[in-house]
Amino acid sequence: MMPHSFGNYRGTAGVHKPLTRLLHWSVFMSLLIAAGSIIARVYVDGSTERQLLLKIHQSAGLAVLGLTLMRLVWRPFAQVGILHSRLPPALRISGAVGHAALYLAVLALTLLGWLTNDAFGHRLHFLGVIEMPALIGRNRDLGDDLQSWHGNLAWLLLILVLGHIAAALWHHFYRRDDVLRSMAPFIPRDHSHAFLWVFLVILYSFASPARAVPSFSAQTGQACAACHIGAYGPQLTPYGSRFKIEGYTETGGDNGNKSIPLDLMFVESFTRTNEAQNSAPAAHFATNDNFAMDELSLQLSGGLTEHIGTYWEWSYNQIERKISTENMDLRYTTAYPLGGRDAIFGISVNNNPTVSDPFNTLPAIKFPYMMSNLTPMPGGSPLLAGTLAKQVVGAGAYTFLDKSWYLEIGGYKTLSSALLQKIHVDNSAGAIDGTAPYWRLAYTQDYRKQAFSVGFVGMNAHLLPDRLPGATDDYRDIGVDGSYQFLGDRTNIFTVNADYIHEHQNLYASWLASTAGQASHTLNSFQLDASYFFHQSYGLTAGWFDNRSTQDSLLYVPYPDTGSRTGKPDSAGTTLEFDWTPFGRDLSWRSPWANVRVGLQYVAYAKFNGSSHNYDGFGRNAADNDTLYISLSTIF
Amino acid sequence: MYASCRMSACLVILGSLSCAQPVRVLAGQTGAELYDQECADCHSLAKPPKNKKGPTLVGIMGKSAASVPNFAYSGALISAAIVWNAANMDAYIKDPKVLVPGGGKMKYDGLKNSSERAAIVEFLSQQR
Repeated sequence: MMPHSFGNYRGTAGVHKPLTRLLHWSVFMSLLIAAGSIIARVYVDGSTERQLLLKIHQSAGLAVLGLTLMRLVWRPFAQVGILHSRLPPALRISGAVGHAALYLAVLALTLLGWLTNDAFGHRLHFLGVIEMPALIGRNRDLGDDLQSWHGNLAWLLLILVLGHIAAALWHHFYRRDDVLRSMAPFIPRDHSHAFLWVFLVILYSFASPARAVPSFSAQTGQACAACHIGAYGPQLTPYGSRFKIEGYTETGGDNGNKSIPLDLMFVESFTRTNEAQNSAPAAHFATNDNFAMDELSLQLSGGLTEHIGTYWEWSYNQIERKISTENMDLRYTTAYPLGGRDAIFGISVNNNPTVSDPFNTLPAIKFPYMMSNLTPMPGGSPLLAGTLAKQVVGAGAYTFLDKSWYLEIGGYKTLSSALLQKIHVDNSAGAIDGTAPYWRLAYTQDYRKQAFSVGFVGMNAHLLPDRLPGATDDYRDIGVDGSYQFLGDRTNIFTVNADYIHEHQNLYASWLASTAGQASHTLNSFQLDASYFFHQSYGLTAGWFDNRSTQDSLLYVPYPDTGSRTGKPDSAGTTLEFDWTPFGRDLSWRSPWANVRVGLQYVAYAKFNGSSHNYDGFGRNAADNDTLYISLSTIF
Repeated sequence: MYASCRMSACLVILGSLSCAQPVRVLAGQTGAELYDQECADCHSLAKPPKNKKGPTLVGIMGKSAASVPNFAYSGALISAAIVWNAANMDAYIKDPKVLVPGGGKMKYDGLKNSSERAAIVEFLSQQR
């Protein structure tokens, strides 16, 4: 555990851990929703509306129960004692009694609600999706008793909550200590956006179904799960691959191309590394335990005409604090059967090599699909793995023959400095001298029950590191990749993806500038990941990565957190991720516009920038960078 | 050394993958499971009826082809003038292009296994 500075509880800022505060305020908001919905029900006549309000009440109540149980599990790790130790014994005892009463009342109230529902013989669903087990059998008389107890206890809880609030205000205004501040939802240093989330959830609950929907789904009439493994992008099913190859132009359903192809995506996250970093990863952030709004983006996604489609994303992120162009992919496609065989021809104009690929194995779109932007990242990734992302524009011609053979050939050029500045993209890679060719050949088969793909990919580039004419750093990438998906009846989905990229570098320009000790280098990047998705709702993915490079102590120098003591950028480790996607299936609650994914990711490094111990030359170990990343994302 | 080992290991894995034949149905799948596997991406059984890429299939058996309201059918299916029964549904699932010239809009390669087709047709006849 990293040393957590609480400061002086009486005077300077001592605050609870972010997770403690998040849980506390989530319980409060859930209680508010539960109370609000059941009170509103009294004033509503329509049976559908009454039914919906009851469902909201029940889901909010279940959330209260689950979050409270999580709080109890988390409590031993929350180190609340460090804060409380500054308080006099009398206050600590009365506080403990008050809090115990609150916990008991909350648990009893929610359980009584659950039992009431069971006794009336109804089924109980959390968020309309997860069926909760019945704790007791049907017994209407018992149900009446339980319901009255539920109601009485609700009043008791209200009294306890009011007492809790009064005590907090007493601490703040009368005793003038940090008790109230310690649980504040927004601490200036971490810019917590947890509340924005709660408001979005409330918005979802009450917004009218007539609003914009995720464009692809509206355009095709398909559920998210038809195209995406786990009912949330970007991992594609064979159906999704084909939709992409067809240039996002397919239409269907009752809406058939009549919707506006604009989506809004929002991602909020919490990042914790095993040990705090030496310096904050970005301005306005702390050295550890950061809440961040990773993304607030607008996407123009869908078919514009019968042959032209696009996926184009602009995003604001809190980390860099500016609006920039993200992935862009504009396509023209046409189907032209050859000798009775299915054939699609297309052109893709995009800004990131491999973003055009329809499989889930190449760097732009592969596991992990989301990662923290606030942790040290190891060096030594090949050119194909995002080095040029967003700084280039390229066009590729591709064809998909006989539903099996995928061939793409294209080239990329660097955008001008002036343009990059306008679209807020850092030019970290230098300029491509001439055009950088990109090619891709893959073979795939979709048996509906299962599917696989195998392929090769390659790219060459001559880069001018300072954008000035002269010597270049040359890169030659070649990769091999494969994927397998078991889809079955879509209840149990199992996928495996692997890719291996070999890169040869001739860093002549860097060698001349003495930023590389030698010109010739090789780099190898390998990744294997396997995932299991249940009911297109719960996903567990494990990935293993291993990147190795030749040694160069001028290219990779010691530096706190991000440097290398050994002159090597090698990294290896495991990524584990659990995803929960409550909606996105055919008959989902408020389908298709309620789309939320909760991700829990843990990256464990066995090796970071060349070694496991003291890798940076300043005493930091690879395991210090092990990262817990919790993310909530939504798109509508 | 490392590179060539990794590369060849990958090639072996990928090569064996590409040679693998699709695993046959081990135990018999039910009509519902087969429907979810073969049809449900595009055809919904939701009530009230919902059209996805393909039209709703609730109550399809015994109905005229191309008769779901608000769905844009292909000219080929409309002019085929079919009333769905077990025999022609089986033929359509076996190979859409044979029953309806050009296959209509349905991009489906067909299901070769006759007992699996029978299970799906049976399942469809229960969707009232």
